Amino acid sequence: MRRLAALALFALTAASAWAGSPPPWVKAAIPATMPEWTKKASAVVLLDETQLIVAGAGEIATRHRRVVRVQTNAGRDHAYASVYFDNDTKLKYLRGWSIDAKGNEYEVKERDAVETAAASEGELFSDARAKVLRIPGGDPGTTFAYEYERRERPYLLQSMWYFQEDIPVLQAKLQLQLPPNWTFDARWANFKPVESANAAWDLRDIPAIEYERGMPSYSTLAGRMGLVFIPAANDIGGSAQRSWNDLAGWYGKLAATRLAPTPEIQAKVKELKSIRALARFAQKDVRYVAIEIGIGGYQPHAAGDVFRNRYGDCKDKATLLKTMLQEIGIDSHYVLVNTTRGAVDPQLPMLASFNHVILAIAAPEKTHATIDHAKLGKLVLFDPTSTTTPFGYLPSYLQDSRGLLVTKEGGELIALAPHAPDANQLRRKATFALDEKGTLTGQVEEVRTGRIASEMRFELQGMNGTDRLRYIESIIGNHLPNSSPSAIAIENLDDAETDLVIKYAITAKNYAKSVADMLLVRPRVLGQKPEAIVDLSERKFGYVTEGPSLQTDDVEIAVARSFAVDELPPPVALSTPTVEYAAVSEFKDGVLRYKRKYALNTFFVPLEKLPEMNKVFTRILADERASAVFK
Amino acid sequence: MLQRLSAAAAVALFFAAVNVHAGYPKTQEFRLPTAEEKAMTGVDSAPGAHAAILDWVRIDDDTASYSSEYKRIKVFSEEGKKYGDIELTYMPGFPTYGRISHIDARTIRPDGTIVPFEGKIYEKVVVKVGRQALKAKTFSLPDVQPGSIIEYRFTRHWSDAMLFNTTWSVQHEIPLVRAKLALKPYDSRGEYASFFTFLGLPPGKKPVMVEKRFELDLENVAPYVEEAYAPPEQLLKAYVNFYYTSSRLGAAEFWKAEPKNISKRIEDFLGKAGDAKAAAQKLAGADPHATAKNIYAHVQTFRNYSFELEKTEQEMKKESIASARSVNDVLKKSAGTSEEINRAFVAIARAAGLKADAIRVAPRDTFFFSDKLADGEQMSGEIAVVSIGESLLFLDPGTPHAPFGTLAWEKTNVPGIRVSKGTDPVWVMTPQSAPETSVTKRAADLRIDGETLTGKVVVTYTGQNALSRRLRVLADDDAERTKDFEDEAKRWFADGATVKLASLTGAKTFDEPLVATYDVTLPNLVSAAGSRTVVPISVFATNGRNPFAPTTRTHPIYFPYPNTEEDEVRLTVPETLKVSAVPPPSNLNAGSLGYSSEATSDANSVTLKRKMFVNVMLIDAKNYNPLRNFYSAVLTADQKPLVLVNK
Repeated sequence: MRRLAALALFALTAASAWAGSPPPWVKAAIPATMPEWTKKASAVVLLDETQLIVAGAGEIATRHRRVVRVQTNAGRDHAYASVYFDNDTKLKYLRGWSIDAKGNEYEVKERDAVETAAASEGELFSDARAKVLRIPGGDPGTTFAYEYERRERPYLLQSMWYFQEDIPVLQAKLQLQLPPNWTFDARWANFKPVESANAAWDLRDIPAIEYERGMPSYSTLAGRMGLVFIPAANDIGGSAQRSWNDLAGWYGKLAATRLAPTPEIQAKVKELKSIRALARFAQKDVRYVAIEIGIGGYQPHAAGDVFRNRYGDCKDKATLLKTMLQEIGIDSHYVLVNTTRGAVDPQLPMLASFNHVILAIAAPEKTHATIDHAKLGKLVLFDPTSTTTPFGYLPSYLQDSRGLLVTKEGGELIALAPHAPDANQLRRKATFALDEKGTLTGQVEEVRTGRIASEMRFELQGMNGTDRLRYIESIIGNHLPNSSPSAIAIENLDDAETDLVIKYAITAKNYAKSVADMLLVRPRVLGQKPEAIVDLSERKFGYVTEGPSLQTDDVEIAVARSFAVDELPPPVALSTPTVEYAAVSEFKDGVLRYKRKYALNTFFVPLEKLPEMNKVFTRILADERASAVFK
Repeated sequence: MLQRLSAAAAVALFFAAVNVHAGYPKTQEFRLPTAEEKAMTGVDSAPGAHAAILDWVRIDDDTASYSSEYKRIKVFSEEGKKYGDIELTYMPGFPTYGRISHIDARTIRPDGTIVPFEGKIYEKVVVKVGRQALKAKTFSLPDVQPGSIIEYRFTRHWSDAMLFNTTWSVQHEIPLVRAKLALKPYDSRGEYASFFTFLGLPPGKKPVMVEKRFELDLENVAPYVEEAYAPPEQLLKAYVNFYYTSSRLGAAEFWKAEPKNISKRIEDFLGKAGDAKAAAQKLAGADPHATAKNIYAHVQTFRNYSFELEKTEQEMKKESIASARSVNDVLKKSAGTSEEINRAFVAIARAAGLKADAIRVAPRDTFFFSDKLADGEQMSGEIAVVSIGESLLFLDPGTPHAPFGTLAWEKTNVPGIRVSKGTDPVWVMTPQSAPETSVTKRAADLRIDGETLTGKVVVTYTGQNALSRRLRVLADDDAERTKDFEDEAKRWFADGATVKLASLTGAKTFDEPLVATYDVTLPNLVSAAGSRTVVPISVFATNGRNPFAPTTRTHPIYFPYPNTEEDEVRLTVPETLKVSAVPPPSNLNAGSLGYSSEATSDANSVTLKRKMFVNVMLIDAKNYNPLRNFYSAVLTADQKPLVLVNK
């Protein structure tokens, strides 16, 4: 809830607004009664209509109209019209209307909009901007509407239609107008294809993709349609990017002019020599700075500029590394990817599928990130942007996904397989002593590799020294509330090529719980493995895990001689396709030993396997709570 | 910000400005690193810092509407390379006409070689509304690596028709090694006076006037550290603020005069309150207390604009929302802002014969009142007080659903100016609420069903605990409110808990407790110890975390308001099991914080009673360890389980 005090600032945005009646198409979209199946939704799209008008020279005019009914207070978020544009895109008009629950009508125009830079995180500069129009009204029962026209000359004759949302859509319409003798390809993802009638589509009653904990990305679930416009033979070259091969060919040509080595680059290559050293240079010594203007959103800067500045974005880093590798006779290939798993759908050869560039390097060695290509042989996938992911690994957000391999001949869509669990390890070894007062003291060493190391490095590197210690102390405190960690040492934090090692000492008072004549000791001491117990009551989608990993605990607790063991937790052995778990406690020679092994084998657990996952995680949680009894 | 009136002065200053722009002073010249600077890998005061500002030289000249700034930053780590990206914001449009110019920058590599900045400076629109825009000049320095030193400088100009206050934020996210800061104030020849205030400077440091300008030299200012349970950031981050006022009053004089100004504004508003008499007649109660409560209940029904979602100008016009000019305006519409409703209460109470006053207060949610700062905006809140006999009844009618006698927490324990009819206004302190008035009482009636606990939970909130939740869900509809309460309750229990809100009462009132009743299923609590069944019976503390787990602390610890937590958990034991051991009682006394728990059992059930209270607002950082130990001990006590064995 925001107070009215903020109103003064906002009043600026609407200072020139004047009331006008919404046009007939807005009122026509409002049904007499809302359909029963939409009653629980916070808002409902009554109409989302797009007209794509393609001119012979390749200019595309997009006219968009949208009408949304707010049904709950949360639905107020839909009272905004956001339109993106840049130096090459003209916004012809933008206007909005609303009819509130009391029947009051409002109108706002483009001059009432707030313009903001649309740069994403890490971008120093982009010409992308957005106009955001706040439409008055907002109480449940209000109907919002807006329309705009945008004209652009896209680099590729493609367009994506996103018609399924996180709220229900009663009607989604798309109408395509092409110049004479042009044709089009329509491809569908996550939705049963619908035949067009005169290049027009009219979809009704599209259900919402509602949020669920751990659900796959919306890209994986929401229906969308990709359109490729195919010019007549005598129009603008008559070419179109209809396939992955076409798309890769286009990108290869776009980037090819940026790969010229400079003497300075050649000198550096002579100094560094090896693939790994060059990869590390591009990853670490070239700072991530994105400057994207016009085609610069896709075309890399020249390798020489990137080298001289020692900064660039993902495609710049890939370009410099590719140029350097050329100098030592190593072939490499751009791979266009998306950092959201599932965003690249094999059915949609669209440029909009991608937001990131990595390299596939023709290196003979076998690594976790090596793929065997039928023609190109062994290729190591490498992300020069992820400073915490070493050569031979792929960032977890790119695994179990797809990428467009750009080759000299064109290209193809390839699978980016998940790494095996043993590529991502957390090995914890702890040696403690438990005294007669129940105080636990000892040393812990945690070794992290692969994804687990990368993610921890990312967290810790962003913190200063004090915050790092406090962060680790907080994690320990979650398991041992009455503990005082000390001598915290972090090894190899900045060297992603090596294991990340964290060592610390612990003194935990009252660790052993004294109840009546018993002393309860939890052998596990530290760490929780299960990610989530998922509520299955209305679950529609599968669950996305943190990714495959192999984690072990090896704990020894030397127990004060005055205590005799009475009972130990039973051993646990679980094996499912998703999770494998084995834990055993034993007491011998005054030492309580706890060993366990946890392997998570997949990035994705389908809906039908979730009951099994919950059951296994519940069993593991029970083992983690279990106590040994001493008397 | 004040607009200048003297055109003649502006013309004269233009020529002065021309001279200034000829070049940077010596203190802002680029220089080669010393051997010591080259060898630096960190600073002692901030271990693990990613970078440090070696030099910051800023010269503000309000006589020339001009400022020049120089920064020299040493990069220590990969993360510190981000300081090579520079963004300088300015407002180019009317009336500021700001601009940034004369940008120079360079990188000094770790080996001492220089890489001049020859790249492009981009100009981006940060935000634009109509003709008003906030723009930024942005650029990135080349070849920034750990060990590099980056230097940059620029000048900032603005319209010489404008006079701005200046703030030097001297505490950054990285340590500051040296700073030379100067400001030449505008001389309005008596029209305006300039003052400064400051917070958090090293002992003995403050700006000093040297040859018509204020100067401040600083060394080794530690970076700002964010911590949970810390006072508002504005209160912790060191700064110097220069300001101009149209009077020649210093802060001390200002705060002597301001109460009369406030009193006049409030009494003027209360003056036109003829309609209050009729309302007072209808609301008369059996005694003054009852009358006050009736009036309070009446104004609580008013529409409160201050707590509604923001509205556009069009919406305000359509709904005829405008600032009230008097109490009569508020009463006619039965609507107003928070302070207008507060004054309506005072007016009706006075008309009913009660001795009622308004108190203008300085809320402490974002800042603590400072009498060193001559800023009347600090007094942005308002409450009412009714004298009944010898006692004072503090009320907050302008806060929706505030219990009768409860002030919103940010208005408690703060200075205020009491405005009484016919007498001079006086400074007062508002009362702090007592921990026993803000209680969260959680009662669970559970049974063991295999490895799961199931049953009913009733949670009763009073005082601040009720008010804060009522305000949190004020704009929510039923579904959102249900989700909000269920989500809060789920956070108490282990993952996998099923929590369904069965009923919620008292969310839209002020005179009843807020009561939430849940049906719960709690898996992942019961565990085995061999053949024994172990139940952590303090079920509401299942997910308890020590908020003070870190072993070190920089800032004081700030609890917004005293409060109490009372739990009662009754667990029915299955017929197949019997109680082997109940958790031993615990009693922890840390002075202003306390905790107790005690379990009792009978033939077929166990009951745990747990209580914890906080009766303090600020704890000095030097007392952090005892506080940390207290919370650790609480968690340890909460984890002591109930043990059941087979019959």
